[in-house]
Amino acid sequence: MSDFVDKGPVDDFVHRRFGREACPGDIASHVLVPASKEEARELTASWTHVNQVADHYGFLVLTGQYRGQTLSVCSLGESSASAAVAIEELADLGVHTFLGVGLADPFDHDDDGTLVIARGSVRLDGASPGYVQIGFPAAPSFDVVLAALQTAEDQDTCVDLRLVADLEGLGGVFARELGEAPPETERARAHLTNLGIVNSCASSATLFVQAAIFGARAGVVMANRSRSNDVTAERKQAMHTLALDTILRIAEWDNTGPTDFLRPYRSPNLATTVVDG
Amino acid sequence: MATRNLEAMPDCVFLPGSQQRADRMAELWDDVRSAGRVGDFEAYVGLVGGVPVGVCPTGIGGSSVCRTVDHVRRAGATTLIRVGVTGTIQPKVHLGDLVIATAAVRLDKVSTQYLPIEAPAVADPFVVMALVAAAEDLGVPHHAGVGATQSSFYAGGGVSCHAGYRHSGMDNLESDMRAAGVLDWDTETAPLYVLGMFRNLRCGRVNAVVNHPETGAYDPFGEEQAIAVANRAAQNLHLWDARAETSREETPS
Repeated sequence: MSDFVDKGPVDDFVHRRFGREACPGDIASHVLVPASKEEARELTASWTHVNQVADHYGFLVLTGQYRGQTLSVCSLGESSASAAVAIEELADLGVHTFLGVGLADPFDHDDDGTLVIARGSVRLDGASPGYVQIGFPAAPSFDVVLAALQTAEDQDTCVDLRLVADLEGLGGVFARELGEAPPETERARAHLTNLGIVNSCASSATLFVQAAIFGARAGVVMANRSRSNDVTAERKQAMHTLALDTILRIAEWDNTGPTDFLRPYRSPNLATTVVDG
Repeated sequence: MATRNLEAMPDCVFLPGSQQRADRMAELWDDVRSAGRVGDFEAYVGLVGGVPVGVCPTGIGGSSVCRTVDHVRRAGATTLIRVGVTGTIQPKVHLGDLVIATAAVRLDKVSTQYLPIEAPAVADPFVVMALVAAAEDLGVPHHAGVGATQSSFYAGGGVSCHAGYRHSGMDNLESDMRAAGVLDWDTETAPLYVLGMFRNLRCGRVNAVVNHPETGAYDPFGEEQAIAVANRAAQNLHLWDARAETSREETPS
């Protein structure tokens, strides 16, 4: 007899459907996934008909209308374990497109709000190895990257297309905010910097791996924090606009049917994109 | 070894595994000439649709690919497109279909010499886009997604070896990859992508499925389509790069 445990039924674990607060139909198929509840609220500031679906642990789930399109936002919490629960539940509720949005931590802190689209993430998170072996690539979906690039071009916004790192599993990320990072975290940052990987984005690797395993789409757009550990309101707004219009574009592509979805972006303008790492 | 310095290579260079595939690619070009040798393999340069291109066979395996990449890079190449053959993992991928790798599972060894195993082996998105656009334009069945790269052609792919040799680690390999949505196998893509990121090169890959998914029978008819798609992709990239350059020149600094 197999010892495999089927975790399918709704009424089993504490987090199922966000503590049973959410049902199929409550959540759009296209979802923005920031880290915090505060960011979730900020992202929906320009929406109409916003409905709070769930508020469970670190997960604030809101559904509303953005320029006529039904979208949802769900905060992931700050750890990969938390993010992994949210992504499981969202996928179970029918979500097929995830767009991470949030602030990134540039290793050299010589940055002030650069917008970054992730082209992959170094898997130093804790959760993703539970899903698939570490050599599996934590990479965004091709069409989500294209949508983000095309949106940036339409907004005449300069973006970096970068490999980033998800350092959540090192455990020292938050301690570093207080200047108390353990030596191993600092060594890892220095090593990655030497390799040309210069910023971290929490939960990016977890999101990419889970989405790939589930057959869903995922991408991440972010803004680098400045030395003072924040971004200006103007840069944060630029990040939100990029994220919102990117997921709107994907939804509109999906609305036109599955064929030829790449055709709107067949002639990229590489001039506004910096590809590095 | 027969290696001598390559002559100057154009921006875009194709990396097939075999000399025969390289020869067939070059037969479709104009103004073809030899550009030197890397190991046992001869490289060519020429024009496809007026666009300068090159080809240099890699042989089989990650270390062989890395050697070739470094030679063509030092000769001036900045965009590398592997044109290979593969076996399918997913039922939806059929004999003759093309598989364009957006990323690769790092089951190889050599890529870990360049970036830690936690780093993803990802393609340049614009090279992927150029390949997808070419396949669409030519009406060739294709799939874009994650491939798997192993270091040993048979044992690494879970295929029984000589005299039926198997070990337990081979038993779940292909089913695990299938469950994770991985499309195909080869022995080159992950090191190509990792080294490409390490050297700041644009890399992509198109493989033709040459093994029947059910019978395992070999039929290479998809190779010609992979070659056609690669040639068209190089022209796409050349056009886009030229337009981007014009855009930069017109943008006030």
